Amino acid sequence: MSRRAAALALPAAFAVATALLATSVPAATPKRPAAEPAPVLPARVVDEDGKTVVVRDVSRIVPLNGDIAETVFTLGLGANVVGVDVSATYPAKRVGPLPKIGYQRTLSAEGILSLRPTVVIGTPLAGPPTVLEQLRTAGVTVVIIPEFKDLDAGARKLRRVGRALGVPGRGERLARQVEGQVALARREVGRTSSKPKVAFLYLRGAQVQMIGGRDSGADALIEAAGGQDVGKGLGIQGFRSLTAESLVAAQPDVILALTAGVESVGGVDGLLRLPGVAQTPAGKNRRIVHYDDLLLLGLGPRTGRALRLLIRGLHPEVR
Amino acid sequence: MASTLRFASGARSGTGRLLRPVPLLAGLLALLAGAVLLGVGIGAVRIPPGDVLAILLRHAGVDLGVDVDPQQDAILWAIRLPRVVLGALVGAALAVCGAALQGVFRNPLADPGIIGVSTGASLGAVVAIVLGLSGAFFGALQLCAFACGVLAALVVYGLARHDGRTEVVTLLLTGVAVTALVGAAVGFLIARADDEELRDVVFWSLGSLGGATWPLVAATAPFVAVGVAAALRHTRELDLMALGEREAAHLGVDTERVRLRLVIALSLATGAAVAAAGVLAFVGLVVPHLVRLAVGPANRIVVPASCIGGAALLVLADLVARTSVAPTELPLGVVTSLVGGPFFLWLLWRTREAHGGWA
Amino acid sequence: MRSMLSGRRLSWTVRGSRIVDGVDVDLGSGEVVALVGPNGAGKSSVLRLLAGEVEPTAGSVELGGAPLGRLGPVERARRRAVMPQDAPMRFSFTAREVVAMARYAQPSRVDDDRAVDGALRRVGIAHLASRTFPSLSGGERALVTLARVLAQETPVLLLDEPTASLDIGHQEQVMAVVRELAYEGAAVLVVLHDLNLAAAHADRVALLAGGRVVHAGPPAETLSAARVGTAFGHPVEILSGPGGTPLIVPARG
Repeated sequence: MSRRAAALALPAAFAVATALLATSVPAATPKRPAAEPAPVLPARVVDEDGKTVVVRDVSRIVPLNGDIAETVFTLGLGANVVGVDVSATYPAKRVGPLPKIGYQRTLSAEGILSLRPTVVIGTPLAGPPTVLEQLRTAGVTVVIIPEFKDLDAGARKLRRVGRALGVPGRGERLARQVEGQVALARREVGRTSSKPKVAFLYLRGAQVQMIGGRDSGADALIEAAGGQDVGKGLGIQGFRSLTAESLVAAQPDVILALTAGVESVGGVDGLLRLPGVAQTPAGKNRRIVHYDDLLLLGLGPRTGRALRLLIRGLHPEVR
Repeated sequence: MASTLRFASGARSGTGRLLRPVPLLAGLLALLAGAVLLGVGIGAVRIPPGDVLAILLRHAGVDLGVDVDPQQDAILWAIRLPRVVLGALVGAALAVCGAALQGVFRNPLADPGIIGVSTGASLGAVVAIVLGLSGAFFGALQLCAFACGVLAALVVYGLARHDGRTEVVTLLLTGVAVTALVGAAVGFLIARADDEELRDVVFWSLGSLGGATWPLVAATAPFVAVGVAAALRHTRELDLMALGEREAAHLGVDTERVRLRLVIALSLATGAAVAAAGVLAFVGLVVPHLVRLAVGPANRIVVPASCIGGAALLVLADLVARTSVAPTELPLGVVTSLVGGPFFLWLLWRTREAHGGWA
Repeated sequence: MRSMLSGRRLSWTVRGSRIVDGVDVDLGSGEVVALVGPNGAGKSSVLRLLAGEVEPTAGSVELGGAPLGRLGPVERARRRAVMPQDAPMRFSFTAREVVAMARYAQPSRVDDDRAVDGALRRVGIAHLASRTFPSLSGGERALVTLARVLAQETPVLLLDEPTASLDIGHQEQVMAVVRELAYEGAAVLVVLHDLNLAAAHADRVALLAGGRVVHAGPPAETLSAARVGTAFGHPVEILSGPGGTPLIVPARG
């Protein structure tokens, strides 16, 4: 029930856009949702490198990262997106049929150019740098916005991307909505009575087991949701591989994972069979929560929803 | 085809060689020309052949007066052409280094990795990625990879040297040991790397020409030239070294000096190639073998033919890598291994059939 | 007779064990000197010292009047040729290509074809010219290697058991070529396992045992029953062969 409630709480604009376009195959000629005013161009933004970039045409957009793609779709410009990277998984029905430009860090200049983009937008994660340089050389407008890693990231991305693509008003409005949702969720944390220890595991098959720590993307959410990030407590930066023994020693109450990761080890039952997991309180009580990659780590427009879900996952006492 | 080759190369049919040197070299040059034309003409972005020609001529100073799209011009001139040229350089370097090192070590399985250059370069690249140097300035990763690759080769050579002499077997085994050590360092850094860095490392080690720019071409070319020139200059010595260290010396070859020179020059070329394109398996191994199969082992032919053939092969492999799954790319190392692996097995099988061992 | 190659008081010690112990060698133009002795006597080591392949622990080598140490690889290769015992070869060079490698040290390429074809013909293997080396039999390889040594056209030849893998016919053919070369003025030092070949074809025979020269002199003088028996640790009988050549047979029964 809570999931449906959260979905309903999504930004109105996004709901309208989805309703309008969810069933239609992306058309070759870009069209905008009728309800929204056209982007105001040219838009001037200061790039991550401090250079001013002028965006004159947003009719063919290639977002370079999954969270940016989600942000562009949320801003109602989904119909203008002509290609996405493989980490773009949301909204699934919309990005699924789009051409894929590879992984955000291993992009190919000519591949992107073959989509005839008018603007390419991403975070500093996108690269390699040579490819971005080649895109600029070929006359494509390249906008790199900073990478945000906190709970405000979703709102900040909406503002930045909105400004860059000529829809600053919409960006601002949606950003406020996201901030409102996050604030609402934060208030729920006040009703919790426990502070569980949470281990965020990055799994890719039984061989790859890493634990997330500071700046994993999940740490901010875990803490905001009233949990205690085990990896961060161990002084881990980003992701580090993990021994079964140190997992047991950390005694997490809840194991947090990505849905794809859990599937790669054979579901929750498979996860419980991994060495060490059964010996933790989380394993003993089957307290495993998992969410979609982009929802949990994207820190995108759905941050408020992710936080509400996580609060419920970590605190059974909250209803 | 296999059976025809085997039949033609039977011991009784004279030299067992399929081609005369001149037709082979001419054929390879034609292949390279074809590969370059295809490489320049085909890509994810469709550019009509007429426009390709007009753009190339315009940059060569001949204006045909044809109106070309500036974006197509940029794609061709700033992306595709440097990539094709870099591919040719890297392919030539790897194949020539393979041919020459197989001669120096009298080991048909020698490839440019044998003296530690490839793993050294990998270490350099991983260091650059994990320490965050790669983002510091353009080419930082390539510079690190190149420096570490050459350094590793010199360390191998220095450790193998004893009383001013170097035994080939000692050199080989030192290469194995240093490779293992450097591999351990790479492994250590990889274990410390985070997800993004890991992705970068994996991507780099799979090989790609995606980073090709004119400055990178300009930085790579001189080192490749040094390696190719050294190999071309010492083709006779390489022939004699096939007789063995002692025999070559008896016949007048200053084996120590020639080997030192070749190892240094070839390390520079391999280091530059690996730094520019990552680790590309099998090019250095397969191309020289193919050439020997066709015209015999005389390095006077094998070295230049490997140079041209390696260039053509890599340009074609890259064409496959960047067009087969466009707008995405396949890692180039995957393509070379995909072609090289089965081919190598076939080569092994064929050689065993024909001679009962390496010929 | 001009001395073409000489070794004075040559000693070679490897990790404490003395392989060669104070050996004197003098090789003049036009003569064939055979080096014989039991296994491990140091025959091949003496040859390696004379070839300059290893440095003597003590003593000196002069090649064509110049100290060997002062000559670079090319200079050496123009003055002496060395035939090794084994001829390992990994790549499929043809016999002719292998023989042509002998011409590396020559200042000019003009005479290459003549020298190579001449050497192939002289050893009687012109028909093998285009066969690949690895496809040849052991005996054929030895002949190709001999042809290679000839094609080097040097005044001094050092041959390490050139007849080892050959049948009787080829053995005689090779030794006849060696004699012919000496007749033309070459100085030939040949390590031989077969005492009878040494007796039949050498001008002088040096008998080695335990790294020392037991005796050096004309075959009939060096190859006495007593010396050979002691050196080889097995009694022998010396018979008189055709033309007065000593014929050494082991005492049996």
